[in-house]
Amino acid sequence: MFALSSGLLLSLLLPLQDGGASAVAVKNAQAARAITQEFGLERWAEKLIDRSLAEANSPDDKSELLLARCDVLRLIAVRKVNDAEKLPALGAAGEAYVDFLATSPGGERGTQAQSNLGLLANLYGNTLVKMIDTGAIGAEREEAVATAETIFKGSLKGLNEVIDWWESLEQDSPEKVASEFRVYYPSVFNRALIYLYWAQLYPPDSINRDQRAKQATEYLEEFAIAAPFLPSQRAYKALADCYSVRGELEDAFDYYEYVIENAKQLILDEGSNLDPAFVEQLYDVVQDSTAGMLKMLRGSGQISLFWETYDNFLSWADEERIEFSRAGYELQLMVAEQMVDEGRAGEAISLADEVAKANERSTLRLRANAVMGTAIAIAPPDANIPLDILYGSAEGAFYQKDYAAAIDGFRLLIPRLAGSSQADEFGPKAYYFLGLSWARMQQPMLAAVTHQIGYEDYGSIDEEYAEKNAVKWQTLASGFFTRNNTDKDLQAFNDAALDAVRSEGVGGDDLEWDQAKSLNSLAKQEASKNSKAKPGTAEANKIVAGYAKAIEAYNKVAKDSSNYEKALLAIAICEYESIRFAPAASDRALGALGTYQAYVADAANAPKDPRERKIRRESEPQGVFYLGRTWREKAKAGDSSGWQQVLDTFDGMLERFPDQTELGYAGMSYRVEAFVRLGNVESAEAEYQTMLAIPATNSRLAIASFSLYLHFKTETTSPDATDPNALRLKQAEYLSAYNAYSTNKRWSNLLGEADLWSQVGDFERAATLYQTVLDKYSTSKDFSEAFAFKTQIGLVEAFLQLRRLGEAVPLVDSMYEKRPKNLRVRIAVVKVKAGFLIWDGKQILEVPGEGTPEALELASQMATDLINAAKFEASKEDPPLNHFNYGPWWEAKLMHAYVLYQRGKTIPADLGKHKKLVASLQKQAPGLGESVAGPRMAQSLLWLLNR
Amino acid sequence: MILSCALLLPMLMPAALPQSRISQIDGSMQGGKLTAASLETVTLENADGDARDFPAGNILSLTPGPLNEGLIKGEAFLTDLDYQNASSSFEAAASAGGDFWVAPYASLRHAEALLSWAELDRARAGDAAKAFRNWAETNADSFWLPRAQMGAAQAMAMAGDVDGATSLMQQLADTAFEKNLGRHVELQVNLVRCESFLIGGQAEVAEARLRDLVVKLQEAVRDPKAPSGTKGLYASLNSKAQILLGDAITEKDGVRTAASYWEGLSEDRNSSPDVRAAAWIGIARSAREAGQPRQAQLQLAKVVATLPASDEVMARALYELGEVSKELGNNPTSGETYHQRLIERYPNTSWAAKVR
Repeated sequence: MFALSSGLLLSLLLPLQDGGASAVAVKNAQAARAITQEFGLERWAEKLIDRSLAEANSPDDKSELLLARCDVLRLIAVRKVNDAEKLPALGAAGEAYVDFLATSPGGERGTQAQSNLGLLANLYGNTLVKMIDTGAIGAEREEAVATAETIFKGSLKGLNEVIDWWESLEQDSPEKVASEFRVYYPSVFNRALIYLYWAQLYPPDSINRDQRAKQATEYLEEFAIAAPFLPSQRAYKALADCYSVRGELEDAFDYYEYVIENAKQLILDEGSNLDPAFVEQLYDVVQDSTAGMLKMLRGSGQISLFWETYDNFLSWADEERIEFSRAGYELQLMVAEQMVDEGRAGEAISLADEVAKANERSTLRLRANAVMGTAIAIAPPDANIPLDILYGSAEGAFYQKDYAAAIDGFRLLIPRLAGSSQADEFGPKAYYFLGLSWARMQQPMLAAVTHQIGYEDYGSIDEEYAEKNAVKWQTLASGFFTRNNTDKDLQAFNDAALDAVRSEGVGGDDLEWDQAKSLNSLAKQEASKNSKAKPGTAEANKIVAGYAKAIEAYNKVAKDSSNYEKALLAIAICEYESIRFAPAASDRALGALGTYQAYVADAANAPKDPRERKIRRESEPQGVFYLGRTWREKAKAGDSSGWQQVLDTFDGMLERFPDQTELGYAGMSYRVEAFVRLGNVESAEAEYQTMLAIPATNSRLAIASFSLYLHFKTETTSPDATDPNALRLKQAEYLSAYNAYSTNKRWSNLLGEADLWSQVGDFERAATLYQTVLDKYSTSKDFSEAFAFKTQIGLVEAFLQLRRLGEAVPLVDSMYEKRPKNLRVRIAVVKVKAGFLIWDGKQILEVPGEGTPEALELASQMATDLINAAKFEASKEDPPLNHFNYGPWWEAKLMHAYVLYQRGKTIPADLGKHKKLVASLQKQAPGLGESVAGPRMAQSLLWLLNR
Repeated sequence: MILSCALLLPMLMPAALPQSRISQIDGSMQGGKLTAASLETVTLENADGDARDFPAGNILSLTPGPLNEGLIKGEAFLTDLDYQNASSSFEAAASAGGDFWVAPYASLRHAEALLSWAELDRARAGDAAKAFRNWAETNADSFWLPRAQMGAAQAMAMAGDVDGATSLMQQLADTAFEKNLGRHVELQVNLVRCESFLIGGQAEVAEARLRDLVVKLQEAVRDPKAPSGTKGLYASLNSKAQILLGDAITEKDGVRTAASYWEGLSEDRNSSPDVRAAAWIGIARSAREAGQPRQAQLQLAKVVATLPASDEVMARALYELGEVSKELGNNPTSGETYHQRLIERYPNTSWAAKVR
């Protein structure tokens, strides 16, 4: 029925109008249809339409492309094999056409859309009714029926417009005559079919069902009388369907019989004179009508007549030696279903199997599989069902990507393998494809155990599938284990799978190696996730256990494996990586590295081919590298011999392994550290200079310079330091080098460097760095308010020292507003207000301040406050200090003296007070604080004394 | 109607089908109108009204038909585990009249519905036993008497009357011998008796008898002279006996001791799907009890992945697989996935009800 309707509709040609779309839009629309129809590239087609729509300007272009989108959806739906997928796809396409037609496209596109919607409505109705008949639609039926009604209504509207148009044409006009059989009758026929399908969506005996079936009957009667013989017979057959749907079975039977006899008679009378293609059409009519009759008889419980009709059909088909059409195969599947109902499982299976084999690439294959599945399910356990049929059915479903059906099919087959002579033939591959089906259904655990059983039950029987099952089992098991590497049961499951693969001689060298690498990778991930885990904590223990699993796996790499050498090294590296979380691992790492080096030293293990030579070339330096690093870890943990071992291990590394320069530079940086730790700073600096001369990579230079910076930092604060300023300068230089070479610059290190430059008197560098920190890092998350203040005050002080008061003043004002009680701010305020003295190492220079009476008054108050504050702070030191031994107190005193000096210039009452103050200080501390606050202090106070 | 009557063939509309069907021990099936069904003979009549007698001892099963509306409804309710409505519908069907077999068959289904209910709710066992007893009193010469008495024994055992149940089975065994009802009835009766001991908590007795019975059933399965139609039944009884034996060992000696029995069965690739499933589930239970949930998961996965066992067994495997997968942190597959599959594939099982 459908073949006819689609054929007729495709020939539907109405008077066309020029669409008015641009050539580009038409071309893109055609291209989208073509790539969907010819190649099934639906996504590309959709993208092409989307892109073209975005670029389309005119309404015609948009309309052309929207119609193409409807067509693409229809073509996608038609390509679907499984009815359950096809139905919603058809529904989506139908609704798209309805929406499109609602925009009143008119002209050629409107006609085309109506035509295609009619075609689609029939296909949708046919599919939905078939699903309802076979019980293949469940909860989604209601929604599908609603969709069907939308499509049917849209389609009927279009068909009625076509029919009205034709009827309005002038009688006997050439247009009317020309389009009668190409346009009018196909439309009438299709309209009737839509009503027929529509009727079947309603329950038996309902008014809706009856009314729509009656409507279809009227249209078909009209059609059948006037149509040529073949379409007329199709219409009578459809009429029979209508009567069947209405429950008028006698009339239905009459019409089916009438069509069958008419077609048979014509073949009998005129067969040899008829075109073979026409005869084939007649054969199809007989099969289609017989199928309709059988469906009706079965549905009404007239089983004896059902079988009688089928027997007659078979005899006729045999006599005529016909090749079954689709209707004929559908008929046979219906018969097979009836056989199932009667418990004749074996016969049903054979018949369905014949249909399946004859329709390998058709949707009928799916239906045949389903019927076979039902038949197999009801067959008694000892029923003699050829396993090839069972297997074929399930395998067919698998290749059609109906994995759920494949699973059911294989699971029906499996219990019948027991005791069967065909078990060895089908068992291994049944398990294999069952496993694959589970995997495709996203059930890895079920897939894994299926392959396991397939291998265990049939491993010794079928070499090909034993291998395949083993490999699949192992792949899945390995995945489980690597994700749960502390699970002993999964490890055992995985080990068993590995054994299976090994015993099959597949998997190669890489099997254990790959697995170990996966475990190592997982351990590294865990370590990275909890990098700060302290030894002994649960997190640390878990990480160490992860590395232990990886080591265990590396130990399984066979000695004759090409990865053996790498595995030995990897074991040592795993031990090394564990040290952070379990310091005792350092001894194990040394042991493993020793083992590796012994392996390398043994001439019997010398590389024999280019691959082995490459491995040696890459692995050996790494062995040395990790040996040195392990000694470093031991040294850091307190092993006194460790640093010397580091020096020895990395000695000449660059020369020994010129290809591995990065490892060589790393070794040199560790040697710098070792020299420092051993107190041999000269050698450390020499090694660093060598690195600079090469030059080594920045990251390694950074590490080396940081070791030296730390050394000088310690030295500077040492009570034994003879020249702290010189040491501080070194400290600043190495920190500066570190900041320059480091690939990951941190503001804290830059700030530290700025402070150091400030302390050694290089205020230019200090100011630049402070400014850089403020400009680049002030928005960093960890750059707190406190650090912002520290940087700003550092910058202010540098500016003041550089006599750049213009830049300092706004900063000071802002800081004083925010932190009026802060001592360093107050000092800065005093300096800005009253001016201050600078000592450049040779002479005292005066930096003028604001100098107004108000400014000097404020500065005076602040200086007094600062003296008191400094006294208080000195008393809080542990142990409490005499303020004469406290640097800040001297600073405050100096400031106070300078403020008095400035005030004395304008206030007569204050004249000479600064001298009295300094003289008084000199009496109490003749050195004028030089020992506490440096020569600048004494020189500055003496300068004041002389003014 | 546009077709002339001359074109129409005379209509032949036979009586509506389906009919009653019997399956015989020789493997053949026969259909027709059921006109008699006694402990000695079953009679079927063909479309021409010719009657044919079949010795009851040669019949494995008798399925009457067509079913009236009440029976159809009752079966539908039973499928949906709606025991209340199922038993009411069968009761109503029994008093609706019709062919001679309708009332006894509907009453029997009523009692069987109560028995199914009792499997979930032991409080119903008394009602079921009473219904079976009443049935047997009024249908003492029915073909279905052995079936009813076996149902009665199961119900009595569930209700705690193990002695009554086993003694009833002894009587039935005697009747089967006297009436020559066939070895298949004898073996079924034996199995029900063992099951009664087990249900009644006499696991030790059940185990001893089941061990003997399994040997007998295996001999019957292997017996080349056994009628072909009985092969399937014997295999099925053998499977059930093997599973019951495992249950008896579990009941008596605990899950871990039973594990070795189940392992023996699981390694036999000729075991039936139900037996293999029961074995893997038994091993899984043991593993779980021993604190090895992963082992349990792997065993249960085997059941779900490869076996087409009965709905109840598959549903149980899916339920337990879901539970143990949750216990393992939904790894590698979410436990919910298995429970969802349980609801979709086996919605009418008691296990599906647990996860809804």
